[in-house]
Amino acid sequence: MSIAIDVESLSKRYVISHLNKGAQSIREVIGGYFSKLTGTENHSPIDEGEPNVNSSTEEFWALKDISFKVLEGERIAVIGGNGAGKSTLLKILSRITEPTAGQVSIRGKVASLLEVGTGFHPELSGRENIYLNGAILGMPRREIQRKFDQIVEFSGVEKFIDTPVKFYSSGMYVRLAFSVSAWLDPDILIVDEVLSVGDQAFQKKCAERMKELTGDGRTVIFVSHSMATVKSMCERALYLKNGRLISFSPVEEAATEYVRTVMTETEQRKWHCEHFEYIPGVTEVYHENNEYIKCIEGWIENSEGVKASMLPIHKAFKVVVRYRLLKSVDFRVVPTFHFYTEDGGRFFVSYPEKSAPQLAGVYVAVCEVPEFLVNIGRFSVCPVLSSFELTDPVHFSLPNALRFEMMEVPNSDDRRHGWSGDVPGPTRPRLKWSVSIE
Amino acid sequence: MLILTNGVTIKNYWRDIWRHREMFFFLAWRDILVRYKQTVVGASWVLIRPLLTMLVFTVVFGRIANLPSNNMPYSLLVFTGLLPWSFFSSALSDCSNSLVSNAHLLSKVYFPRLIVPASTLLVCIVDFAISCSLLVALLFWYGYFPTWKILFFPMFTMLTAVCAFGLGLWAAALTVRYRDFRHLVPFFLQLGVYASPVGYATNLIPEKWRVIYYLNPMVGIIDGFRWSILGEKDIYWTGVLFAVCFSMLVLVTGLRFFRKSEATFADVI
Repeated sequence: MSIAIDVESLSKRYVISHLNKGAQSIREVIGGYFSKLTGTENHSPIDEGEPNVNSSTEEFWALKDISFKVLEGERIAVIGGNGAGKSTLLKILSRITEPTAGQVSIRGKVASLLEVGTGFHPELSGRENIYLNGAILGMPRREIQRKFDQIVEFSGVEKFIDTPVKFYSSGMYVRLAFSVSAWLDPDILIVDEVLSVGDQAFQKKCAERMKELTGDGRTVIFVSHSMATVKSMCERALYLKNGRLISFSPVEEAATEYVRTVMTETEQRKWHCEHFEYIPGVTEVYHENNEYIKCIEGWIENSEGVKASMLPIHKAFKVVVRYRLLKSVDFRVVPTFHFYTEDGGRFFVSYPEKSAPQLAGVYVAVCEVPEFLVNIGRFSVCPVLSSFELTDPVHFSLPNALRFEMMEVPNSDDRRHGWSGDVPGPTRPRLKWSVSIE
Repeated sequence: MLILTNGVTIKNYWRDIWRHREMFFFLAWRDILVRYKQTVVGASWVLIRPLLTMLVFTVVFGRIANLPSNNMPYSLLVFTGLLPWSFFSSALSDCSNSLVSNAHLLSKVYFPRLIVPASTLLVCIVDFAISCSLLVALLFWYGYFPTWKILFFPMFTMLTAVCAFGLGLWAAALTVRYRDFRHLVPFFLQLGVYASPVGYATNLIPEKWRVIYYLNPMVGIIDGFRWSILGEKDIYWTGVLFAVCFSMLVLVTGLRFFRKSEATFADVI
């Protein structure tokens, strides 16, 4: 097999100027020349050590020393977080921008899909836009004519093909836009995350078409955030982080590595809160009725007993709350946990099996949540202390006290049977099944 | 085998442009189609605009200011100046804005960037051709029949196109980095209507100012148009020659500058 794309120590530098964002104005340039001529440029003492540093600009390496080779017919995924350099790499490969250093050798005709409907004009009809978009993407007019009916049929907007696209619904618009791209016929296809367009049915159609396109021996470079899509379409993955190539390995390995890194890195994000401490008067509380029943703190711990807010779906985890009874009481104090989905809907409420004791002291209530009960996504827990014998039963409740996110490590769900997309719904319980031949 | 590195403009630049010729036509076609959508009189604007300008100039310069017309209908004098001037001014201002107004294309698709201003120029040429039909009508109306000098008409048209395109390339590439040119170019064009013999005849300018006056290349060009259409006897050939040299120079340097800055357009736009 010959090499389709050969990238050798590729780097791309952007110069960010803090004063003049992007396009600068002439006044600043001329002003700069003037101050150089007259020597009135301000030199702060710090600058003098390094004379070539201009304090108003900053270098930023979007890609640094990347090397890899792609064989003909190989399908490569590019994965990494925001700002990892994925888009920059695609832009260089599709010749939109030039590299700062290094070299790229490409064998074959390249088509890049960095967005759908590039160059679509709202005033033009669907038909006119197909021709225009095709020409922009490098499809000869004859080829468009030949494929025209297929394109229109695929998009499902036959009736409105002579209506200006500004009257289209946004769904129709993206469907038509994707359809033109779907019939490109290059040797090397460079695709940015453009597949998630339209409704469910159309998305499925797109995915099928993409599989077809990528199936017949084409070299494909594909950027996506969805590990499921990446795994279903590509064999190997480039994992970029902060402009550097972390690994170039089989897609399963790279995806696992990526998800793990994301799990540890996103711990600090705002949503996540694996521990709370109740400080009377400081913590904003929903209910606090009883002066001798005090909540102290609460946390979530993963299956290894470590406090965490990013939890793998295939492992059980625990929700814990500590509270103190300042004196013995003659009613039962019951801790409960109210689980909420990210959008604020109550997911379920969990109670302890046994009645709670009534003596003074510090209590620890631990609730174990089994694996796969909570589906992937973000959830919050509201710990509540109540006594249902009382007319005013709630002693304490703190909504959103704990916030966690469920993640799915690749291949952790053995019930997928080949399905690689999302499994919808807030829960994914392991119910007993039997499927047998009668 | 395509090799991408820093600073090396690709070898087959012109062949690459040839490959993208369809896109060039499609972009021009798009601009022509779109321009008069949602207007009542549609494409007639191409004729109405120069006609109205001609009327205004004829009234202001011919009737009110009572400037000499060299024994010809004043409206004809104005129109023969207006024709090249509006071609020049629309070509220059549209070219200089062309990259910025197609920014979404530059940042998403590869193609030789020269296609964008070139297709803009094509649109202006189409407009110019339509305006020429108005000229023919006017000549008939006044019973003016062109002499052999009309054979030079295409030459002067080309000269205008070269001059506008050369300046347009400079302005387009500069506008990408310095948006000031979006304000500068229209301003200069506004001044240019009066600094060029659009609403009056060139012989109005005193002899001693002539050298300076002809530093504006449009003076020589408009003179040339009047000479070829109206068959005027005398023409200041040095001025025309200067316009030719100036136009060639801006075209060559403009192309060079454009190609040099082309690679970074997507980064700064």
